[in-house]
Amino acid sequence: MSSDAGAVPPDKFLCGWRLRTGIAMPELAPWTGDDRQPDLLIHTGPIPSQLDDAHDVSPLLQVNDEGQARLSIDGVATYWLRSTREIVIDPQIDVDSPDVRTFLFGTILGLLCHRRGLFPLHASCVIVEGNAIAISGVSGAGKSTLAAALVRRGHRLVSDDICAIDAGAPGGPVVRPAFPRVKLWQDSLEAMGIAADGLHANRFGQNKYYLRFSDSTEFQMDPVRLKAVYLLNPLAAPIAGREEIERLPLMQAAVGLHEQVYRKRTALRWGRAADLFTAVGQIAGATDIHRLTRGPDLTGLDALVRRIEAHAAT
Amino acid sequence: MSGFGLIASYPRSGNTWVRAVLTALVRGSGQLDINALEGPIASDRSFIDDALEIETSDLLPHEERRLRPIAGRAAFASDTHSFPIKTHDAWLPAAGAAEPPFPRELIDTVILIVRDPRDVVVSFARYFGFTIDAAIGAMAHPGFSLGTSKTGLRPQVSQLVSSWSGHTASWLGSGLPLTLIRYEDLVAAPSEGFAAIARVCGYATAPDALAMAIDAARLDRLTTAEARTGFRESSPHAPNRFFGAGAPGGWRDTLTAPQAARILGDHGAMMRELGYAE
Repeated sequence: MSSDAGAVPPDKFLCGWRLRTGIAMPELAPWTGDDRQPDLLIHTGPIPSQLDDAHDVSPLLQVNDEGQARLSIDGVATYWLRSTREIVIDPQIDVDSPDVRTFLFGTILGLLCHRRGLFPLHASCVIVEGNAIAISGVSGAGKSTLAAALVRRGHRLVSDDICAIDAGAPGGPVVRPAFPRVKLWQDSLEAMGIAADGLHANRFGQNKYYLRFSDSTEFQMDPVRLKAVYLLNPLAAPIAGREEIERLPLMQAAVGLHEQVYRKRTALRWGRAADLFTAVGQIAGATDIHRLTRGPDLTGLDALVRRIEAHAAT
Repeated sequence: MSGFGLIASYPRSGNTWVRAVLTALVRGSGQLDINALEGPIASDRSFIDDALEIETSDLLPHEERRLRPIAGRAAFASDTHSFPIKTHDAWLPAAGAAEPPFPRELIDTVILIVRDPRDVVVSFARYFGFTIDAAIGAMAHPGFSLGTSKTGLRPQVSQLVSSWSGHTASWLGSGLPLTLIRYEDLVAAPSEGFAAIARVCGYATAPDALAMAIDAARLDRLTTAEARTGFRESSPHAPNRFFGAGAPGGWRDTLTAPQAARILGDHGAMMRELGYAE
């Protein structure tokens, strides 16, 4: 099955799945669960240029009604989500380079969540005083920065950028932890006083880095009940309004969550509209959804992190 | 209309004012919320992320430039936009891109708003906190772009704006169906100017409705609203208020004679063509 030569390294943990791969994925925690067969294989191999009955969801992404997806990133790799148990990668660069994992743990992971019936929220997730909170918003809203700043204050990371929620879990929505790594731009690292030296770049030549929290006390592996979601609303300019945390009424909460479904267009193409609607209702009904209005830059980061910390602990 | 319209302009030339008036017109209301203006902004990162189904924050600058027109083609082909799209892009392919950011065959109409570059310099410098000389330099640079950063993420993707002359010439020479509007003429005779804009957008132009829309989007109202609520479209990197005085000819009180002469030296040919070189 695998085209990778040599010994297969120990299995990894990803969103509760047992992952077997010969590709370097140093950000993933090792599998420490039961001795089940792997839930997911990721390996290199050839990928057809056109999937059967393919539909172009975007110029880079084909999907079909069997739930397969083919993502093509010129100069990096092609990815084939072949089934819920198998991902094939055809790299154009060293398959072990971070650039390959950037898109694997982005769009492809999001699509896998959809295929496996999870609700991928565009959010980073941290446990604060025993409560899992998801910090959600569009790219650049500050999800990863706030999550990293919380972890550096002693809280545990659950996931970054994609928050895989099992909305229908008995007892209420839970988050499936992904891996102990966040991606941060140089500006954010500097605001936290972290040197970029020695960190892997997200892309070769890009000033955006992988910041790993490998200490097990910093990463949470068990599914964790989702307590609250903060929908980030970054202010456009320093003169615009004030920072605030406002709890949203149910309808606004549902609309806000639905806006932040990761890779929603593909999910809708796969006929998940009703599932997403149900999941949004389950999450909005069982957790507190807040709008978090924050300043336009990083100057107030420390104060904001303390504010979220205090708010989440209550 | 089968495709979409564009409101194209150099930054600080009245684009947002035009969108504000058109928003008031299509809503038929005398009240205007400046933080809910109609129309997509062509360079919004989330708009392009949605079109591509990836995070453009994971792209290198040359990849983003190459993919933007491709994303635009995909997004605009599947959506119908009744409200024109705002852009500060020049009608030029960015480095590495095969074409300008919008698919030519889907553009029904372009409203090109131009403004005396001497007033643009003053507004540009005030808003972005530049010196006048730095603003003059940026506006003379053929590669001038907005939304580029190597160390952080901007909410908009990189846009090739080019120099003031280069920008204007690119649209005038685009061969697209184009309506040229001078900002100064809009200020002097808004009823006529906005009636012309509304017509090419396909909106009804009853005089009462137009007068109400123009009044709802009066610059002093926009300025007051920004002071009260902020303006979400303002750049996170601009330290000053978005809406300024907007008075045509205001440069005479601000620019030194050598500065005015330098702008005329940089852009004289295009200024003469547009009647700005008296």
